[in-house]
Parts: sequence; C-alpha cells; structure tokens
Amino acid sequence: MNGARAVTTKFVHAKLTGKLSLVLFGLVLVFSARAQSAPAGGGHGGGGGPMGGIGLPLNFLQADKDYKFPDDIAKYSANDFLMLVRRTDIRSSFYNSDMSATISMVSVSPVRGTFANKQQIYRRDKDDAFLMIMVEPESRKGQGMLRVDNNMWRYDPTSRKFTHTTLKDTYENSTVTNNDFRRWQRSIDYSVVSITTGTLGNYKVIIGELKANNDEVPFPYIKMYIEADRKIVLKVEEYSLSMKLLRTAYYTQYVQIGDSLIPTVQIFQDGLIPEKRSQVTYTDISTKSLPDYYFTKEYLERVSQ
Amino acid sequence: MNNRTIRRSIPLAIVAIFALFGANLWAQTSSTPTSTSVTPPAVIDENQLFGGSKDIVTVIDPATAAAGNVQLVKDTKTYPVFLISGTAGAGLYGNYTPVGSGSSDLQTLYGAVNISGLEFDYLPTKDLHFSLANDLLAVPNQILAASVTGYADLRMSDLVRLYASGAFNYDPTSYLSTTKYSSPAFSLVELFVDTQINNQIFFRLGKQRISWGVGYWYKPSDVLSLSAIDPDNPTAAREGPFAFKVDVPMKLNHLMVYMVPPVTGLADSSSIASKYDLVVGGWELSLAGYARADMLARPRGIFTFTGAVGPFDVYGENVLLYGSDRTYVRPGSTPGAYETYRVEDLPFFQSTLGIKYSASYSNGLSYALHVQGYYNGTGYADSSILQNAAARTAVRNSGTYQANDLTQAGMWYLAGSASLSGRFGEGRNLTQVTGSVYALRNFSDTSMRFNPQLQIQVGDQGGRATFTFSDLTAIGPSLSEYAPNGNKTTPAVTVGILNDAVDLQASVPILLNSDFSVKKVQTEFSIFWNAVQY
Repeated sequence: MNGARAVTTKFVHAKLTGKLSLVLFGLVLVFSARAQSAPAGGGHGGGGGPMGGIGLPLNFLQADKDYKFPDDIAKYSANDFLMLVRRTDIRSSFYNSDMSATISMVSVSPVRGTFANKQQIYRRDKDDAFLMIMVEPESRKGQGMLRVDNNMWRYDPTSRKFTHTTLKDTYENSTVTNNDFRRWQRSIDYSVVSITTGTLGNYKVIIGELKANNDEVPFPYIKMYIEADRKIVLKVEEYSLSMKLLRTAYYTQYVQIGDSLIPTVQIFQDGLIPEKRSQVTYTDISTKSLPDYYFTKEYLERVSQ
Repeated sequence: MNNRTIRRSIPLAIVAIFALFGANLWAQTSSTPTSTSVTPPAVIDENQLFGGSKDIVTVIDPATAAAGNVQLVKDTKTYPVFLISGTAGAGLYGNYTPVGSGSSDLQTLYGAVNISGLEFDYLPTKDLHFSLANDLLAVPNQILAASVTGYADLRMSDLVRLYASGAFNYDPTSYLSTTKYSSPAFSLVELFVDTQINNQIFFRLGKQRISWGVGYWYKPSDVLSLSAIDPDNPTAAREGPFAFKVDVPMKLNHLMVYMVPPVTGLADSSSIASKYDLVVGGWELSLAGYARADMLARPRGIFTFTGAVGPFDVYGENVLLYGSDRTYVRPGSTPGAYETYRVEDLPFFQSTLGIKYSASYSNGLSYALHVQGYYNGTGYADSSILQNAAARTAVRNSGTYQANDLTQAGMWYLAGSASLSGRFGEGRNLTQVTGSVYALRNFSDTSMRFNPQLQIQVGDQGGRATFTFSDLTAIGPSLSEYAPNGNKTTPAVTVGILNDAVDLQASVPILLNSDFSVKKVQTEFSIFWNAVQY
C-alpha cells in the first residue's frame, strides 16, 4: 500500500515537475525574446551611426574631419595638440570594418630569459568589442578574454568559469596592460598640460605632456611624441602621480589600411626595471567581416580547452 | 590500491608517457620565435628605432586586407609539436611528532624527489592536443603523494570537438593540495562533445564542469555542481554532472538549457535547468530555474547579479525553493538514536551578498577587501547536532541521502578576506611585502577558520627570494563545519631562494583541546633543490 502511494506520489511529482519545467522554460524564452540586445553586433546600439553605443562624445569623429592643423609644428597650441591626439585615436581604429590579427608578445629579462606567447585577436571598434584567444604556448592554448565596452570577462577553462577583470590589470604579468589592446582614446582620457617640439631619429615630433582626467586609466600622466606630418604616435612615456617613469612605449612600425593606422611593432620598456622589456608584433592582419557570435562568451568558451 | 600497487604503476606510467611522446622528441618545436623581428632589442636606441632608411609605415590596399590575412611576419611553426615544462628537484623530506605521538604517527627523514607541475604537451596537428601534467613526491621505497591529470582536445573545427580529461590522485597528507586522497583514486573529470547548428545554437553533450553563480565562498545557485566548495580554495574546479547543454547566445545575452539525464537508473531522477544571462550597462543579471522529476532536489527559481556600485564590486545570489533538498536529522524517541526527515511542502529562501573593493597606486601600495554573507534558509538554525557521529551516520543511511546533506548545513555564514601590499626599492633591490588574511564563520555551529599570511619577496627575477609565513587555524568542536578535527592551528613557513631554485617548506600542525591546551604537535618539513626547470 505504502509502495503504491509512493509510486503515485512520484508520478504526481513528476507531472508537476514537468509542468513547472515547461512554465520556467517558457518564462525564460519570453524573457529572452523581449530582452534588449547587448552592445555587441553590427548595426545595434543606442547612439545610431558608426559610433553608436560605444560611449564616445557625439562629435568625436565629426569635429576632427575639417580641423585645420598648423603648417608649422612650432605653432601648435594645446588645443591643436589635443586634436592631433584625437586624430591618432581615430586612425588607430577601424570604425567601418572589423579587424583581426595574430599578435606575438615576447618578454625579455636578462636573468630569467625569454618568454613568448601568441594570441589571435578580433576587434569590432564601432562597438568597442574585443576578443583575444591564446594560441601559444600550447599549454595555455584557448585561454582568452572578451571585452565589450566596459564589460570584460576572462575565462578559466579549468573551472569553466567566467570572471570580470578591469582594463587596468597587467596582462600576463608583463609590461603590457589590458588597456594596450583597446582602441586608443587618449584624447578623451587626458588633457594637455604643455607642448614642445623635438626630434626622434629621422622624425620631427611634437611632444605633449598630458594629465589624466579620470581614474580609469592606468597612468595618471603621459608624455606623447607624435610625428606631425602623418600624425602617428612614435613614443609614449607613462608616469606615476609622483612623476616617476613607469613605462616607455615605442611604436616603431605601422601598417596603413585605408584611413586606419595600426602600430604593428610595439616595444614596452619598464621604467623601474629597465631590463624588463616586451615587444608586441602584429601579423596576419585582416579587415574581413567577422561573425557576430565571435563576440560572445559562448564562442570564447568553445574555443578554449 | 596500496602503496605497492602505486610503486608498480608509476614506472608503467612513465614508460607510457615516453612511449607516447618519445618518438616525437626529434620533432620538438619551440614556441619562442626564431625571428629576431619579434624580440625586443637588447638595448633601446631611439636613433636606431626611428633612424632607419626604410619608412616605418607600410601601406596595404584595403581590398587586399578585406579579402584575407596579410602576413607581416613569416610563420615558422611546424607540426608535430612536443613541449615539456615544469620543475624537478631532490632533497630531504620528513615528519616528526614531538608531543602526543602515537603508534600511527610518522617519525621519518627521507631523501626525496619532488616533481612539480611537470607537463607534457603533444600536438600531432593544429587541431589535436594531448596534455599530461604530473606532481609527485617520492622517497626511496615509496610514493608519498602523486597527482596526474591529462586531457585530449580533439577538434574537427573551432566549434566541433571531442574533449576528455581524467585524473589520478594519491595524497594522504594533503601535501600537493588542500584535498586529502587517503587512497589512490582515478576519476573521469570531463568527457563531452561540442557541436553546433548554423553557428546559432551550441551544444555540449556529456560529463562536464558547470559553474553557476557569482559568489566566491558560497554559491547557492550552483545547483548542478556535484562537489562542495573547498573553503580554503574556493576557486578550485569542481566535479560536474553528465548533462546535455543547449546554448543560444544573443549578442552578449545568453540562454542556456541543461538537461541532466537519470543519475540513478530511474527515469524520474532526471532534471532540467535553464538560465538566461542579461547584460544591462555594466551589470550582468541572471534568471534561472531548476527542477528534478523525482523532487529529491526541489524545484527552484534563481536570480543572480554582478556589477559595480561606485568603486565597489557587488554580487549576489537569491534562490527560492519549494521544499528543501536536505535530509535533516533530529533526536529519536529512543535515547541516543536519531531519525531523519525532510521538509518538502514549505518555501525556502537562500541569499548571499558580496562586496569587493580594491585599490592600487603607482608607488606600489595596493589593498583589497572582500566580504560575503550568506543566509541559508535550508540550513539548521543550530547545526551542532551534526557534530554527533551517530546523527551523521543516520543521515548517510537514510534513503534520501545526498552528498550535500552534511555540507553548508548552517543557516548564517560570513566570510571575508583582506590584503595589503607594498613595494620598496627599485630594480634588483626591489622588496615586495604582502599581508593577507581570509576567515570564514558558521554562526549556526560556532565554528570558524582563518589563515593570516605574510609574504616577503626580496630582489627581482633570477635572484629573487620569497619568504611566506602562514597560520591556518580552525576553531570549533570536532565534526563542526570549519573545524572538523576540532581546534587546530598550523603555522607554516615557505622559503624560495634564487627564484625558487631552492625551496624549503615547514609546517607544524598543532591539535588543541577544547580549552586550547596543546594535545598534539606534529611537524612536516622538506627542502628541495629544483635543479631541473623546463
């Protein structure tokens, strides 16, 4: 008798559970159908136009278009220099196409030796979306991170868990930070303090000292060396609040695709331990359109180990 | 399996490893680039960097870039690839029990070999990857601790693959990790296939790890994981179920459905779970539901969130259940006897909230605070009844027993951590000092554990020396949640010299009586010269 009652109870429970599952599943489906799309994805976002949804000032691109720069670098004002920085910001991005590349990073220490890794990166700058997947070393192949605007996830394939990180984090305990993989927006993050002129190798440069206007950037003060003719950044010194040199970045080779310029060789030297240096080198660059699903957590999980 | 069996199996394992990889040693390919063009210059000379005859800007036709990859650096990588990494050393290992020694206590001093993180990676082609990682502590006539993990990642494409991983563990003294393996244990960690339909619906089918929830020490929404969270290593991977997962990404939002087939051979032991992740601004919200046909695990709705409020990172999990999963125990009508019962017709609520704050400054000062509270409506208001062995046995012997009936059985919990780090000096005279502590408290059985730690790192790179002092302490009655062995404190010191080429470890577990008088003092110590570092 008790057994029959138990079976009946289980049957009723199973029916109830089945109905409950259907209701729950239905609720989730309805909710998902109504949910607003996230910033990633072509053509979506609230701002409209090519910059929609990435949180930049509305006239960020437009104000730059017709700006007349002085012919003589000695005549540059602080505002001219800020517009020059803005021009380098805009030209470091691909607002009209996606971009993918393979980048190798080699970190050198005279005592500890040479460490190398290689990543595949995917960028959709109009949505401020970025995906990086480790290719080498083989033992860490598939690890990666996804960033869309200010949402950044790192994926740990061992625990199958996503975690948030910040743009300030140092990448791989090297002289490179996560922010170095983002499209440049120095003209938004910094204000010009002073400008001078100088020479860097074969190039005449305008040197601007800038101060951060928010605490989201990893370096409160920077000094930029910009070649004025083609408006490309050659060198950036990054300082602490006490003006101690923390890092120097050299951009020694560029690739130009249309209006965009990518620094394909970037050398970073630690300011506190000069023997510590890293070089980031781009290869296999493409502006071929990327599928939307590349900029999802699901894709990052699938391509990891 | 006894030690003799392990001793027999280790040589076989070593032979198998080299049989697998040895034939490909000749094909070893370093991941270090062969071209100097990707290596930073030995000396930074700005005139050389920007003074060459070649223009630093290379122009690429947009149509060419849009059609495919433009190679700027020659790819010299070839397959197959065989890689080895990790360290191996030799030295001394021993135990000594100066106070309260019994016949089972070790009084030993061995010459020993220590293998740490020795990993072999073999890739016959770009899409096939076999990996084996080993940790081992061996003395002349036996293996004291061993851990071997391996996986095979066999891809047909980016999104279609077979993945298998397994592990072997033997670690009776918790030398290699915080988990104790009293006898050798083989386990299947994961075995699944990934596939997809039209790059829109993704499937993962098989035994897999599943990590739900945003909590750190407490994750009431992590209903699918099969093992409990390790309080001393909350981020450690946990065993997952055999499940069919369907995943539908919608930009950053995300719909997941898990179907867990029967786990007991009976059809009604199957369950279903679904979760929807929604990204709103800087917040990620998740709505989820779970139900099991036989109702042994009760149906529930879940809401979790993670985001930031000003400078604080905030997360939370909320679970509403109809009935409790737990099999409870209470004193029976006969003195000394216990009876079990379940509560299946009342709503229960679980909620956890965590707050994190961290700051770092360019002068090297950094600090972090993290606190998490947990209300577990399905727990005992007073869980001290589980400190009685007979009560625990009654739960284990009940027909509805589940592994988590005896874990996180309290109703109120609080956990937290704090760290403070400072940097002094520069270059080779760099000194980094970090103080940290974590603590967990179960208010329902009055047990707690905490671990203060001080780490001093002197020098940089190859000349670096690291000194670490810690004292993991558990306070509470025997069989309580955070002090299962009663009051116990374990001061420990670890010293790594010459960038860990020489590694010294010593710990002194001290068992205390309930009045905190010393009951037993043990010591465990080792010193190894890690002469081989791949």
